Amino acid sequence: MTMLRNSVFLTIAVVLLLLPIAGPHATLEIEITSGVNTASPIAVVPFRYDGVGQPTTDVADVIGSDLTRSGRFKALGVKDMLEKPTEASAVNFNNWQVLKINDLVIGRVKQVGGGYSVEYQVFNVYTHQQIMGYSVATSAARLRYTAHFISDTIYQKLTGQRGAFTTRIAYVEISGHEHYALIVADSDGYNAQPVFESATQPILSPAWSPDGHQIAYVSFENTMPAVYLQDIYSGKRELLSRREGINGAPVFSPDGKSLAMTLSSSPGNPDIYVMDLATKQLRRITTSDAIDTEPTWSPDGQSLYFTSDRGGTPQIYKVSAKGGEPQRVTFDGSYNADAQVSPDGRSLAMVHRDSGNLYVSVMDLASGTLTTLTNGGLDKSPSFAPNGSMIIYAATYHDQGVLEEVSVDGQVHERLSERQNGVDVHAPVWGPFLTSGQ
Amino acid sequence: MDANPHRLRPWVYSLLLHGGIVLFLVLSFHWSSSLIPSLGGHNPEAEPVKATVVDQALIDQQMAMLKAEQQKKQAEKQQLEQNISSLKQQQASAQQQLNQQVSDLQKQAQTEQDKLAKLKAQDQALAQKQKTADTNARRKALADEIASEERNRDARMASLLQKWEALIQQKIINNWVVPPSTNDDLSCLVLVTQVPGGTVTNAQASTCNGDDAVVQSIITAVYRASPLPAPPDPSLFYQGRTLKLTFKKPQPP
Repeated sequence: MTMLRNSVFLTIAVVLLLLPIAGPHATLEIEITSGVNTASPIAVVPFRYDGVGQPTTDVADVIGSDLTRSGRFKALGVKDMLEKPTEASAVNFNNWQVLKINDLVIGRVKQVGGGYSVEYQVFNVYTHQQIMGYSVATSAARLRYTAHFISDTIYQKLTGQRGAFTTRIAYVEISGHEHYALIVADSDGYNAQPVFESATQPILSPAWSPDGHQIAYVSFENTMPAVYLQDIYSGKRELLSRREGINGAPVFSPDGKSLAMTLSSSPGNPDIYVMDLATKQLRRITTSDAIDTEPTWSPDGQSLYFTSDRGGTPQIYKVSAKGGEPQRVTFDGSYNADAQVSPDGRSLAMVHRDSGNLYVSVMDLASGTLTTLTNGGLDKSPSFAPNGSMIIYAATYHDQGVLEEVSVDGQVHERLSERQNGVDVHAPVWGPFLTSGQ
Repeated sequence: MDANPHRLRPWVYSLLLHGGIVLFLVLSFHWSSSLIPSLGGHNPEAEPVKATVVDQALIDQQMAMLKAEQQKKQAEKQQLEQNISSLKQQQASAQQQLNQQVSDLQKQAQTEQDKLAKLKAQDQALAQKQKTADTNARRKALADEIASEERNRDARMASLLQKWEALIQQKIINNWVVPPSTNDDLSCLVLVTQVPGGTVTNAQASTCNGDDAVVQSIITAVYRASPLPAPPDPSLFYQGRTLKLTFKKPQPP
């Protein structure tokens, strides 16, 4: 009896299951397991200004340049726009669909008291849906920073990845007769401020602390190299190492508690050391007779990558942060140096030499595949943006040192600032995300 | 006779002069001969002369290596360009092949449709006639033939439907800009409605485990692909008026 009832239920269930399939409203089912890797077309319409005079920054222009520089977007030129709406009600989405634009940014800068209020909205051109809309209060001095902040929010919303446009960079500038300056600037090269200057003695190898408040660097101010730590807001300096021989290439551990650097274990024999910043105690990591230098940490802080010529040519090696036997990492070509690990820990940026030219290349750590990103010449000091989307590096342009940025897919290159006569720039390092809006 | 000593004097002078020259030459020969062997390479001070020659060879060798490296790089670049162009060719020929297959199928379907119509007309004509054993047998044979032709047509339509799916799939792939936050286990079901002519009138994510950025990119891709490719046979449109698209994370090639 129960068996009969069960089988009746089963039959009904089977019939019910079959019904939608047998119905006349057939639907095609298609799987999409591939896509394209191009920049998404976006339009940033010039923002309307409600106020007296002119705002200090063209906010829409900064946002468009930021998004394009990332390689993920391509901002439409203002002259190619069919309309320039500044209010949602004035948008005709057809005008953007015919231009094959995916997303539209409009906005207004309003003078409020001594400062500004910036309103912006982002629309999906096809669904007409407002994806985001915010109002940001700011001052005249911080208007450019606010534009970068808006770029960060749009980038995050549309790519799902944190934006890095409000982060900063540090680099060394040499001007006039050997006048050295350690500079901190916005990630697009604007708003450059010296944090330390030296009339005649070189400054080398700046490195950011993970909180973005301190920079460690090498200064030759007493004719011998020494490693210093400086607070960039208070200007307070601390001498960390002035040992006999080399004191070089400092770099903070991801937790900010230690500093890896290159010191001479004996005259002419540079090795990697790690200093505990609280106790100032040193731990020797490498012990070879070869040159071991340019240490850099993996994002988990468990290992160090460094350059060594122990195999005859400069190559990248990996060693546990506790010390031990290093493993060779690079095998492609006769010169790979100055490595930096990507924030996701999956790839390694480095300087790769080929036919006498230096290139910035990226190696996928899982497969070992090396991809060259730059056009070559004397490209040095690669440093990842904290979201891993771009790399800043030092290049040479008309015999002078300049800074350039490249998207990690190698698609977008940009020179950060126009060449100034008699000014060389070197050793750029991209700062961390700032948790406070300092 | 007294003129003799006067005549001899030049001879004496000459002899003395020549003797002096010979002596000077002999002495100077000895003096310089002590240095000559050193030019032969026994003296370490002379090493740089030899070293210069070696350097030149090294430079030549390095120049040759540099040239070879440059040539290698040039060759690699050409190879890369060739690969890209052959990939593009492959892509174009795949599209062409798909189009060719569609047009072949369309022709076949048309021929079969014509044949079926002819058979059905014959059957109709027979049905009008007086029912005899003969016509009954012929109608039975015709019915079998019609059934078999209908099976053929259905099979042809099924493969045309598959081709249509492939055309739609390709157009959406070409319009999907995949965001970096795309999760490895992405499975995003999107329901799409289209009208004759291929215009997408609605696209909505139903079940999707991707973030906002991924959903936006997918909906944008569907609308960007509008109008969707027309079905290879107009009668198929009804079957694809609504589409169920499942988006998965693209795997690196």
